[in-house]
Amino acid sequence: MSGGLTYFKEDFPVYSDLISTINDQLQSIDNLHVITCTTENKNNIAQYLRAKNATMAKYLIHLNMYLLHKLNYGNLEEFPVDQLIEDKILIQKIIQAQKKLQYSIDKLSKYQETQINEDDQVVDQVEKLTLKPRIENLHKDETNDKINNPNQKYVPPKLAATLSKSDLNKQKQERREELRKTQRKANLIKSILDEQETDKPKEMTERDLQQLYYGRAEDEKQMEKRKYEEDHMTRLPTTRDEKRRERIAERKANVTRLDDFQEFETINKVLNKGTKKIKKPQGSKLKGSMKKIVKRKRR
Amino acid sequence: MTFIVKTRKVLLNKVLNRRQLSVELLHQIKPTPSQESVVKELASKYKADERNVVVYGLRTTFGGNRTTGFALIYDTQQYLLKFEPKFRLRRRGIIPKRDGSRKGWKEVKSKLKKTRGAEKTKIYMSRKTDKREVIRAQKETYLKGFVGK
Repeated sequence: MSGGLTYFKEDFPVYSDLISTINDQLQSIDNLHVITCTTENKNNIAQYLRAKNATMAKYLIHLNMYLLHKLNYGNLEEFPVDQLIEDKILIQKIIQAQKKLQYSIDKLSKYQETQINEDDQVVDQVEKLTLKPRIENLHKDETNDKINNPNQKYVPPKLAATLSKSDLNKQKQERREELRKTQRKANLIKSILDEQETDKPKEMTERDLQQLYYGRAEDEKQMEKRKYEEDHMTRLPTTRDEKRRERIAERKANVTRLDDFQEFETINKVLNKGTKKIKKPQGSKLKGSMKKIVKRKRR
Repeated sequence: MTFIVKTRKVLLNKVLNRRQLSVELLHQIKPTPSQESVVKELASKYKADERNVVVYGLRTTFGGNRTTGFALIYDTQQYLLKFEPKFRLRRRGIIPKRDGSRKGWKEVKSKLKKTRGAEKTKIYMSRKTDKREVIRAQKETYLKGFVGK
């Protein structure tokens, strides 16, 4: 216990200095509050700084009391420790919030320094004046300064020839056409080379194989559908459009010769030899507006 | 073996305790293989119990010779019963099939559209379906009779 008291006595001046500095800071904040203008932001910042320093001072005072209790009396149950914990948590949160307000605090401190150098009057319009534009800089002619260089020749401004948008599009189209021409030539040569018999193996993609075996390859839509089904592990139902497309593709794949039509004609004739042709019932002889009138009556 | 099994996009799903994969079958000249044969092949390949393997979505491409489908291989039978949808359990025979008819449900639906509030819930609960407690009991009876390897 006595050892602790000696340490405390040695450190006591440090503590007293700290508390005095905190009190000085509180006074400076009060001065700031008077100097700053009536805008809301600056009042809030001053209040924030004051609250911060007040909590820190309060925490230190409570700490000192706690130490004294511990050293002299030993009864710590009566001492409210919860307040100490609350103050510490508050200080931590306040310091975290200071990061966001650092810019405005620095601005205030700079403003305060400038105010101390200038007059002591309350200046609310200083900031607005400093933000005004300089009209002198507007009328600056660097090209034709006859006053500065009277003997100098007239130098016209630099102009470069540029293409218009229509010309640019023409260029792009021309490039595309050239590319197509080269592609057609390459395809021609490739087909000629493929026809020749060589030992080199031919490259067959999946699409070519499908066309070979089944007579048709997958469409883009079918490929998309297949990818979606594989990714999501589901089966999508077939729509009417897909069924129609499949029927048409089957017919196209199954057609081999043009002579088939004659066979069908002969077969139909043979089958329908003895049957009579059924006449369709004739349509109504009413024309035009009479049709509409009759229809309305029937309803 | 009359067909070749290829597996692609194998994915380990730890959340649902299963392996998900897409299956490709090559069966030249022959018709599409049955689900049971595919299940046997996959079980031997992945060293799993046949009863924990689920195959669905088998579809042959145009022209034949190739079918594609999906498969799920669960770790245990309990996870299968927990995560599988009821229509697939009905196909396996774990849960008995529904007795209610399609027309009955359509009548109930038309009544529901006209009512609101407590009457609506009454009509909805009076429909003929398997209730949650009944399905749970059926699953428990199935598990009691299940003997693991």
